[in-house]
Amino acid sequence: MIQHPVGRQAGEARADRTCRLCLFVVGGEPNSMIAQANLSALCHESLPNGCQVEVVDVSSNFEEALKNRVLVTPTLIVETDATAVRILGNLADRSVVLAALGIRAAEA
Amino acid sequence: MAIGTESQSQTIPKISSGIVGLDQVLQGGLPKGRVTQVSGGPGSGKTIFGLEFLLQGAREEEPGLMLTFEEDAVNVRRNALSVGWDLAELEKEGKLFILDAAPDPDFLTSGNFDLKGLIALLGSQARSMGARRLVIDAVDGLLRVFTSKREEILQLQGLLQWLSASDLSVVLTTKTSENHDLQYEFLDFLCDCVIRLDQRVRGQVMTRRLRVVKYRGSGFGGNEYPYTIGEGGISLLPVTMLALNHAPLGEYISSGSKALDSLLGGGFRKASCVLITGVTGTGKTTLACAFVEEAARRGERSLYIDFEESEAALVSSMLSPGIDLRHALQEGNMRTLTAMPEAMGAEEHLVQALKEIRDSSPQNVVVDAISATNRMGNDQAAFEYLVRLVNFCKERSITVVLTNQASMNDLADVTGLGFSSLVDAIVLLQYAKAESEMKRTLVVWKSRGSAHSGRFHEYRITGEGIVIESLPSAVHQNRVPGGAFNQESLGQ
Repeated sequence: MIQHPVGRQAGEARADRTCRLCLFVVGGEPNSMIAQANLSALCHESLPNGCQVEVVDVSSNFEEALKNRVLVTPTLIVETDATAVRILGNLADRSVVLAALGIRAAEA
Repeated sequence: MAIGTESQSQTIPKISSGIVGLDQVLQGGLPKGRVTQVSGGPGSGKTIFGLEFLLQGAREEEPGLMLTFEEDAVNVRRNALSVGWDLAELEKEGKLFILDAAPDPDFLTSGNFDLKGLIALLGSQARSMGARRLVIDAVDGLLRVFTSKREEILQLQGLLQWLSASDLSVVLTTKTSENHDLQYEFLDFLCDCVIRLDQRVRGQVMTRRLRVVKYRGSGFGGNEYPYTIGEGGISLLPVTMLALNHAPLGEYISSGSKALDSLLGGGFRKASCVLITGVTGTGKTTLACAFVEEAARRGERSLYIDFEESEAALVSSMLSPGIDLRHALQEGNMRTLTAMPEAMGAEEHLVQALKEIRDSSPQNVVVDAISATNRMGNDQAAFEYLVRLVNFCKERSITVVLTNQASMNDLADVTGLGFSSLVDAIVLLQYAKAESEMKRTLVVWKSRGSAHSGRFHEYRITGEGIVIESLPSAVHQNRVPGGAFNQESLGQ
């Protein structure tokens, strides 16, 4: 019986969909640095086929932040084919990001 | 009452709030470079307060930034238009920037976050436009994203620290709930100046009161000040701080009746306040209109504030005692301001009256009848309306004629409204029973600054106006110098 792929393989199956991650940070600030680290780890481990990632530093590019109504940092805007989701925080909880990407958290 | 020293040798730097009357209460204005908190319920005028603050800045070449959490930018502009302000114009000129900051209601959270991004954004935007003033309306919207009270407090502290350190002059608005509880009491401690806008229903009429709760580093007026919101924004009318700069009583002008003029020792005095009091039907309105008609003949303008009847009804009813107001109206020498006292709060009545006076600069103002003013909400409101109106006129040498409907020949009504010190002359109209008929009697009860006859005279209302019966030459011998009738005899 053919089983549907789960976890990592599920991520691979969805890799051809659009995936854009835009992280708004304030350079040098603690929460922002943690978010960048977490996002980086997340991409390496759960998105092997990559995802378009952009990091915007509000202190040097406030127009972009204004356009996207970003007031709280860090803010991650996740855009997929289906939706655009806004996640506030340093991304300590990875499952929230994965859920936004439509990926079920990898099961052991 | 003023709290703190009125004039300190070193006052903190202040900037104008842009709100009529408020700078006086704040003894100069809001604290420059510091944070002021304005709290109030829905519709109390917090947003308008903030906008006026920014508009004042625009006038003084101080660009301003508005962070709006409650309404989006489109609605802010629309609401501003309703009080006559064109924000879009100021935005084009770079004097104003409205930042739509309402957070997306659909958001997820993962881990900690803070307001550093907002601070970076504010700093950058403020720098790029050279902003000196900032309004955050309302801070509740900003704090909605945080889940714990502790987090809210921490973040707000961080924000306030940054705001205080920056040289921006800031107005933060916060919401109070229906029962006037503050959501963020701790904010009071973090702000240098705290102002409360209160809106409540008193006696079935909505009244608005502003109170300065705190002003670090400065004295301030500590009373509750009634205010209105209308064309041109918020207007504050602080009665206790009115400098009583009354113009001195001037020359004699005719009361409208030559016979009454001689009883008054020459007539009404310019810039004085005359009270015509009597029960219904005694001819108070007739006398007031005779005054206005005569004034118009002299080329003077009069504002007739009528709480009893419409202009058309007034003109029509005055025709039978021989007074034709149509000429004065057509020439622009008479304007009427008619309104039901219940129609709005006393503050709004006053603002309307003052606006009319400023716009048309009359030499005379008539209020017919002041007894109707207690339908404005309550006696206190009526009192404040009258005191402020009379003060305003006296400061501008405007002669004020008030009619008062007394009940049943009761003289106590004359001073019942409690502002007798502002009244310079009183003409009392009564009915007196004589044999088998009721006769109308008139007496000049008081006439500050002039000799007057203290005798009762009979009078009639005829097709030629008020006719005062035979003034015997004996009356000249009965002249009573002004002031012979003291306050005690008036009110019992």
